Amino acid sequence: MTVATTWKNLKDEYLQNDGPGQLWYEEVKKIARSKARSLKARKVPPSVYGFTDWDFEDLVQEVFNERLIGRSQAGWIFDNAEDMEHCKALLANEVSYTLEKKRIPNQLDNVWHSLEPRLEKLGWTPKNSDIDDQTVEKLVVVILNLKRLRNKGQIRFSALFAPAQFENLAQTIVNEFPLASKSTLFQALRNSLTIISPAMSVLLVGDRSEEEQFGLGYVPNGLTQVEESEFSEFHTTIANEICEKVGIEGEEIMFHEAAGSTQSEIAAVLGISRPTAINRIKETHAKLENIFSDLEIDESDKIKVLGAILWILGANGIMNGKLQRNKQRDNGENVNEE
Amino acid sequence: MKNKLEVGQIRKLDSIQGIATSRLVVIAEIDQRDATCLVFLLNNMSEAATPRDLCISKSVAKSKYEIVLMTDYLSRADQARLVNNEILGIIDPHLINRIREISFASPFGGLPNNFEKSGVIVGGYPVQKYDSVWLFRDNEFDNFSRLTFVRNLISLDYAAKFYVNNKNNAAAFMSEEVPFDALRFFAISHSRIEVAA
Repeated sequence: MTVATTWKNLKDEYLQNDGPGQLWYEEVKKIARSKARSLKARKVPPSVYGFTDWDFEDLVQEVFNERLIGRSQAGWIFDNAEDMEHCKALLANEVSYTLEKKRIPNQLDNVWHSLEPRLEKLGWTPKNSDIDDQTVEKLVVVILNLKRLRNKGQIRFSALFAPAQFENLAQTIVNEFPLASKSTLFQALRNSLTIISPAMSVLLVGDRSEEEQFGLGYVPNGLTQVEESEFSEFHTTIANEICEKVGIEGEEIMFHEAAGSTQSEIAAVLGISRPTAINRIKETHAKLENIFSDLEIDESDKIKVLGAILWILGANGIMNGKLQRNKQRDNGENVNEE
Repeated sequence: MKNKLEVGQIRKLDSIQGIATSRLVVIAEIDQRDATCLVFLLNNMSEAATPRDLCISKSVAKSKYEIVLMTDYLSRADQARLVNNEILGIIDPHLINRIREISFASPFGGLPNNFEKSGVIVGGYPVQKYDSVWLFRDNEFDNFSRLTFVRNLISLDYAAKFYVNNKNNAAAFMSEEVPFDALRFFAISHSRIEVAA
């Protein structure tokens, strides 16, 4: 028969060891087990928190070593807690806190971080209410109808939608779903991304129609390859800096311009209107000109830098007069694809 | 074990059974007239400290752990619910006064980062309505409100406390700040003493 641990037992152990001991460990274990079970029941994959499986021992170790001992939180609980219930509540806080800290940001976080400031700009404030299933269904349709950025397979969690699409979505939410709570919006995004993400993978694996339309299909054998060795460190460093300065949209514009895409095609790829695309192209040109004039480099170097930019963006040759693009950034490291 | 209460001391504020659980606080002001003191609420969530909170290092707080001082959570508590608890850390009283000045001077938005003293930094967690940190702060506020009270200087309660705390110190009744009812209690009790004599 096991004897229930009391707050006095925990306090005595803490005083004896000048820190948390076995009894504290057991209490953390009970709480972590219960948390892990509830997450498992909700079918949350352990990889979300960086675990290989729902073995709560890892979580217990993390809480015990990093929070209770490393951050002296056991001392805080010892000083603060009134009774066993209070102690358990504070320990549960530590477990939740550790889990939250270990949570790996996902595509939903990325999309929400782009959407939220636009919603707030339009005067939206988060509402605290339950998930409204009907609103979720309607919102999913709206989100799925948004034009998406091409998944280049280069960034693990791409922006997914162009800024203009986020603005449209924010406007729609504020106008048509003003009472939607934050949890409703989250659920709608989660449902939509569950549909979108596998579709993006399918596009990468099989369906090449869109890629062929823009002349960006995979490189067949026998094509003249662009090699990294063609560019010096000087050129690749400048090219990298330029890529950072122009951003994801600018990179797409540069690549598509080099690939000979029309303004309408670039607009379709970015998910924005043609007039907006023209403005963005002009802005990218202006940025490039400014960077080159600041650097004061020769024409031959400029060409090399432009070549290096295209190489960084995945270009790896020309076929039938069209620039071809590899499915992953050729920078020597394998990048996870969606 | 009773230790004299002083400004800057970190102590546990006792719970009120069935109403509110105990919390750690730092004493910001002591008022002996009614045996109360102003306290700032503390927490341990330094990663979730908002721009209205101050993260204070172990060395500055002279405690075993880092603490977060919630500048908006300042209220009054009875000394009796602090005095029996041990001192868990001490923050320099000048720093406490400075924190009060700065937080009162900028009541809205983030606190200005005017703390030259190393070991004190303004929190950086962006406040987000209804997220878990918001709810945590909401719960803390509810609990702290139950543990503390707002003093009403013209209430009978304050007058009674003032009288009880100072009935053996006639000098305390010479001040202009003495509540009228406290003076009345004092006068009545003294007239009875004289009658008895």
